[in-house]
Amino acid sequence: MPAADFDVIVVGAGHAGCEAAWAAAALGCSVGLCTLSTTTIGTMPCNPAVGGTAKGQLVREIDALGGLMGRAIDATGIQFKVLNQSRGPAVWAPRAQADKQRYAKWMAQALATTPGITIVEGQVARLALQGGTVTGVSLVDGRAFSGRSVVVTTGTFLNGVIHVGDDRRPAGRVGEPPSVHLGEHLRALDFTVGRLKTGTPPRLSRASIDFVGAVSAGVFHVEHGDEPAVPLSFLTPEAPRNAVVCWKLHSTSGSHAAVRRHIARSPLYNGQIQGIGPRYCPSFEDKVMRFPDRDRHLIHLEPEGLDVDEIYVNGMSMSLPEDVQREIVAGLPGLETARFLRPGYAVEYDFVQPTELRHSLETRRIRGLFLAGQINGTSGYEEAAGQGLLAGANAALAVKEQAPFVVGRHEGYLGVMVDDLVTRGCLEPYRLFTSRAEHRLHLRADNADLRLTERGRVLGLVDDARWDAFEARRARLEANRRTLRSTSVTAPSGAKVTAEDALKWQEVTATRLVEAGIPLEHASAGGFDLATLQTEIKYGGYLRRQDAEMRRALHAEFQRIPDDFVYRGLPGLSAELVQRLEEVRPSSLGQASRIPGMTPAATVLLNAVLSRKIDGIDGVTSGA
Amino acid sequence: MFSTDDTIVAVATAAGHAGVGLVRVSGPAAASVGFGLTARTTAWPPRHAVRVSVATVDLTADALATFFPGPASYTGEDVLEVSAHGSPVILAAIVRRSIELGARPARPGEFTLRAFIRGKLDLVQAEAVRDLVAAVSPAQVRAAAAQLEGSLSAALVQQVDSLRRLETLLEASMDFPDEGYRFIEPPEVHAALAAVAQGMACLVATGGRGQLVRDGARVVIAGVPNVGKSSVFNALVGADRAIVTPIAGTTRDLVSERLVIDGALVVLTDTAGLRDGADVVEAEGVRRASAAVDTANVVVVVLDGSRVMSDAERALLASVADRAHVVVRNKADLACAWIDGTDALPVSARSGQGVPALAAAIARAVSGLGGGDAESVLVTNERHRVLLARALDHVRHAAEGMATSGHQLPEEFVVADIRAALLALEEVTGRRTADALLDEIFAGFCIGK
Ligand SMILES: Cc1cc2nc3c(=O)[nH]c(=O)nc-3n(C[C@H](O)[C@H](O)[C@H](O)COP(=O)(O)OP(=O)(O)OC[C@H]3O[C@@H](n4cnc5c(N)ncnc54)[C@H](O)[C@@H]3O)c2cc1C
Ligand SMILES: Nc1nc2c(ncn2[C@@H]2O[C@H](COP(=O)(O)OP(=O)(O)OP(=O)(O)O)[C@@H](O)[C@H]2O)c(=O)[nH]1
Ligand SMILES: [Mg+2]
Repeated sequence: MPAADFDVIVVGAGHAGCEAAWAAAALGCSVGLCTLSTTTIGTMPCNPAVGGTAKGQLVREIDALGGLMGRAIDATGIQFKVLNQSRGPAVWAPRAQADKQRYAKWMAQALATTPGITIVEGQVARLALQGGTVTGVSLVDGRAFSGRSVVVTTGTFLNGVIHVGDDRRPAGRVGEPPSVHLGEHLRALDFTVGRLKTGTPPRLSRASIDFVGAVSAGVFHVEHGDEPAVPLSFLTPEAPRNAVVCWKLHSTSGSHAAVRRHIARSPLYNGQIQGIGPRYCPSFEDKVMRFPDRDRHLIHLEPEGLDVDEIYVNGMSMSLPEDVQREIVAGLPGLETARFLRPGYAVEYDFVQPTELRHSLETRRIRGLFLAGQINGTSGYEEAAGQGLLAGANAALAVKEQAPFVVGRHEGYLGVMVDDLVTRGCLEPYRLFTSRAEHRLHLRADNADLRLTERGRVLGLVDDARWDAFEARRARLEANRRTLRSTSVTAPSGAKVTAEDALKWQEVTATRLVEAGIPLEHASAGGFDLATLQTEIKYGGYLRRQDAEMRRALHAEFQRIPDDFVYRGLPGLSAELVQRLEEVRPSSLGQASRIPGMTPAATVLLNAVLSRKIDGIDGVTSGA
Repeated sequence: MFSTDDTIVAVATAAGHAGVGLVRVSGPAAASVGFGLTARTTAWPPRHAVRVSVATVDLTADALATFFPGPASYTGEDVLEVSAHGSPVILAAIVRRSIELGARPARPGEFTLRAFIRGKLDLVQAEAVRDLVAAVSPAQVRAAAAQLEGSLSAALVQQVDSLRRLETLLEASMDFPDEGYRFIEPPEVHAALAAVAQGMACLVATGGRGQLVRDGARVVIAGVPNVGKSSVFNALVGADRAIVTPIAGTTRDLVSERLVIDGALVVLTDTAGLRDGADVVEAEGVRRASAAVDTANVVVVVLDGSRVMSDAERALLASVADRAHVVVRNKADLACAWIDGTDALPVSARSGQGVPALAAAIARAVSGLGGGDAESVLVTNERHRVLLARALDHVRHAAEGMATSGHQLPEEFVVADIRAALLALEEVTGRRTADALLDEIFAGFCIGK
């Protein structure tokens, strides 16, 4: 093999690109990281926050595998909060407000100090191909780099168009040019490309808002971070500091009336935008129009950083013309005199249907080409970062001619997300939800390291420092289990029971046991030690039941389907379904059963054919 | 590899009995096979019986032919049904001629398989067809026919719907904590779970009864030696199955026969006479007899009316008193040695006197088992029963979890059981995907930041 400029070329330095570059470098590859600008590495184009439901669990998984996101947000976060604390441990979700500028700077710094990464400023226009294999990239300015694997993570930039009312202009993000050449190139390579849309709310000037007045008038409510704050990384030694508060308010019927009055000027409603937006993150127009009987909607005001003036108006993503946005905002209680810095906008962009991908995130069409992040139809920093880590690692493994790294649905949200994408494709921007996971009780934020760090270590992603910390944590957990079993406490009834049994009582927590003098070790800042211990014991019965279900389901996951399996001509499969199966090329019966349109009958049939039991109805039904 | 591009043919009615027999041809060449069979040359009127005469090398037969164009047919393909006199000879000749005309003999169950893979039948219905074809008792036929109409799926819809509704409401509160409230309160969840559990328990309870319908009730003949158990057994079976001799202790091993008695499917078992102090072989026979009596659905106690009742017989009668049983006073052709006739059925295995009354009594005892009438039996398939029982276990577990925690059990644990229950039920009724769940959440609530 002739020497290449880089082992792995990563196109794009957003959340996917940063993790991809890091992971490939961690596995010993030389990495060329191409970005439109070196000043926008790790930019957060939308909300200033990391984590949240399912996303918080995902950040912990990225961290458990050695990735950057968790450490970046712990170092630069300004308010930390675990969501869903009134609910159960499987849906507790850490989240943090970010100082956007510091976050991006930390990221750029981390990459600059990772050995093996070279940052290349410039716009990638084309892939270099030889037969069905990618061999490098060429840039708009004429430079070319050869590489043995290429990871494309260009976010919303492919043929991006942004809309503010009837003002529409080509852009990847506001103020940045789109990637038109690369977008056209991918279409020309016959990739199935679709169009999606996402949006962002207006920004207001912090200095212009009278928070104290609005709070005492009762129209804003202050939202504090948790004390002590819970970090997102397993490695963060101490509780991070909450440096800011946020505010909560409600929209009013007056602002809703303004939306209705001007709805014909919304590109979402007048046909100007064709791309499909996310339902879970509806624009303000959508909320008002689709739910006419709701007289108020929740809005959060979030500072974008410590030394910036911007306030992010969470819950008010809009693409109405700027004058209408100003009118709507000025109609909100407490914001009558707020200074309007930038309007919200919608962005339409190309994405590649992720059914083009294998579980390794390599495209089926072109060898050595990996895609990660919003280009795969997802939205969200965390989703992008998770895919970036996997794609970067797999790009490196491909260079080293090693088997790909695939996380199972039962092992992590990473696995759930990738399997959903490559199996079902995207009809709208994809976001993780805990309800997408079959084994949610197992996929918790507190045990992401127990699920994944060992796999990361085997792969080479987890360095010695993290591994030592992990082993110490595992040893503490084991010691705590022993302590609980060997310590007896007195029940209210006067009976002696083990501390382990006591912890199963509803009102007893691990923290209470510690307060009562039981020597449980709890060294980690996030309270992971006690959280894991408590959940394992309190809900042990449920965890074991889910494990049993999991083993039942794994059966279908291990029923492999050969890559060259012939679906055409199989009776009982509609032409449409055959086409889907050929597109997706499921690697297992379990994956096949999750393809949209797959009926139980079709799954049974496939199973029967795979196990050669197709000799009549008996063979078919016994496969069920 | 098999294919469904070809045309298959088979006799579709059960062998031997019927007055009218049906030959079914399914596949792309069904119409043209029909032309060849009948010398008809004009197009078949869809779904109209046409009087035809079928000529084969051996014979010519009058018949009715009906053509069902796909997909509105049993298999979803073009189907030709020819009904003719039920003589096996005639039907076989029609099948042979169809094969000459290009059809291939269908494998067992292949029509149903085709219907299933073309989506004409769901899994439950396909299994029901198999049960129907194999049915030997009227109750089996009724139960299988009910499933074919989709009544099990229909009976489950209500439970599945309410579980899905609970799942949707609980998921919505978990995935969108910003909304800051619950879409459903714990007491309502608990009440709904309890209602589902109750509904499912009724269905599962018919499962035990369904098993009787499917496999047959276990009817065991018991008594002391030499009272004529084997003779009664033979009389009921209508054949010399069990050995009969004047020597007490003749029967050693269990002898069973599956048969329909007055419309009830039963597995009738003859046993060794119950007594102590026999030799090793007979003692083992007695042990087996006792075990069979213990697991019987109905016990037929045979007494010898020509002799005075022994203590052992009185003990046996007492032991079955509160179970389904029938008491027989055998050897009714001889003088009755009893003072009090009790309510024992007089039977003579030798002359056949009283045997029909005994058959009727057994059938009555069988239909009285497990409560409910045969028509209400929905769960006759063991796979369904297992799945339903598993689902019920999860629903109960969820309800108990809520009860014992004073409604404090976090939603995700409740949902874990609801989902596991749904997963089991959906193996019977068909599945809802995670995307469909999210669709419902988004359709119903204004959610998202
Ligand atoms: C307006 C807007 C609103 C959004 N709203 C939300 C929201 O409400 N909720 C949510 O979860 N997510 C939202 N997102 C999405 C979230 O920002 C993205 O999902 C996430 O940042 C995607 O990460 P990425 O790494 O895939 O791409 P990005 O972070 O977009 O990074 C793309 C990178 O590719 C580089 N690049 C592009 N083209 C080329 C090229 N040809 N050559 C070299 N480099 C190139 C760019 O310089 C950039 O570094 C929004 C995004 C935008 C733009
Ligand atoms: N007269 C008369 N004799 C009968 C009748 N039924 C059975 N016998 C006789 O009674 C004897 C025993 O009959 P079996 O049927 O072998 O009795 P059993 O109860 O099976 O006996 P074991 O198997 O030894 O326990 C035989 O000689 C039969 O011919 C009946 O109805 N009338
Ligand atoms: Mg006998």
